[in-house]
Amino acid sequence: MSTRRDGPSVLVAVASRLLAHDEVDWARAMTGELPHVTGRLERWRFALGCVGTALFLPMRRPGVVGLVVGLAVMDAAEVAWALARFAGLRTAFGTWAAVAACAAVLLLYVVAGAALARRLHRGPTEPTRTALLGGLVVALTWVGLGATTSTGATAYGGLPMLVGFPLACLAIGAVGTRRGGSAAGRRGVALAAVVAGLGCFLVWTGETVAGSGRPYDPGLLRDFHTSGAPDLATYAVSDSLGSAMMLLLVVPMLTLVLGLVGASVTGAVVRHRAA
Amino acid sequence: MPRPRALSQQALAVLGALAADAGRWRHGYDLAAEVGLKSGSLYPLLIRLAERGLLESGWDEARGGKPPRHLYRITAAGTEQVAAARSATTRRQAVINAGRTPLGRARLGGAR
Repeated sequence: MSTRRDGPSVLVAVASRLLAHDEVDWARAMTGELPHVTGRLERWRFALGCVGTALFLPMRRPGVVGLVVGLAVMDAAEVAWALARFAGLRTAFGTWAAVAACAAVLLLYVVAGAALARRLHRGPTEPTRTALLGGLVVALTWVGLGATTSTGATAYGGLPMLVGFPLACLAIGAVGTRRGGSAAGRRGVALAAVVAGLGCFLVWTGETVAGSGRPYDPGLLRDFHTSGAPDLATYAVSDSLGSAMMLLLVVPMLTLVLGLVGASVTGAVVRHRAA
Repeated sequence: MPRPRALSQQALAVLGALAADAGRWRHGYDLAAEVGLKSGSLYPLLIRLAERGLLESGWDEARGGKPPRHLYRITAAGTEQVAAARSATTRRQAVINAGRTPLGRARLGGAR
């Protein structure tokens, strides 16, 4: 019964940080109760319950968390579908390590999305709406870019998407900051980044598994012979899932960086005008 | 105005535990242990009950270098809710019991 910094106390501190500013009493309530919880296992259970509370209940806008969780669950289901449909994937080198990494990233995005939604949910609705809509637009620009390159369109075919992506990111940061202030703008950008990554992965993976990794370009056909994969479809799906995994990391990162630039510039302009 | 949702069995159990000694302030973990709730269920319940004005909260003093503890007590509205829920349960039980005897079945049939 001490106030030592052990795992459970760190978890309760994390849960407290996840709660919105006007829920500070409940954060303090959890922190104040932990020293009176006895037994190592019981302390861990109490702390995990506090994290669950902070992430999921009670929400004024549970739809935002529902969207993030729904996207992550569908992403995971598509990976499971790929493993079930292409038996060669299950025995390929490094598959299960990649699946574990993918699951960890999806879980991280769910936790981040839920925490961001909680922080945004007591403020004005505009930054949240902008984030969700912006995230989906960003995902669509990447999917469109992928479609133009895979169908062999000219270099100019993907130009609208290449221009659209940074513009969408900058707009998410700018609109969120103008409507909700600097902090809400930054959180909106982060939420949009999570939604964009999950959405992009969903479309890319779904198309890959449904189409058995087609189209098979000459480079893929050449590399297949030295890959050791049992068949071309398995090799193509494996290759495409690797790209999807990269997108799951890269799209949110780029969205975050560009969106934060938009939020910072808008914040500076707003402050300059106010002065 | 939307009608408030009916209270869950767990919420009624928490309110019932608080109503057993209406004036007494209780700690969250003790309440959870008494009604068999995990912290993941306890705090969402307490938050909802407090927002609906069915319980009030306060703070214990910090002792022995430990942070202060949150305290909970049932309000008059909470006591009314518990009484209403108990009365509804008693009525339901009476109907069930009446349905077990021929005379009761006849009465219930006549009431329809």
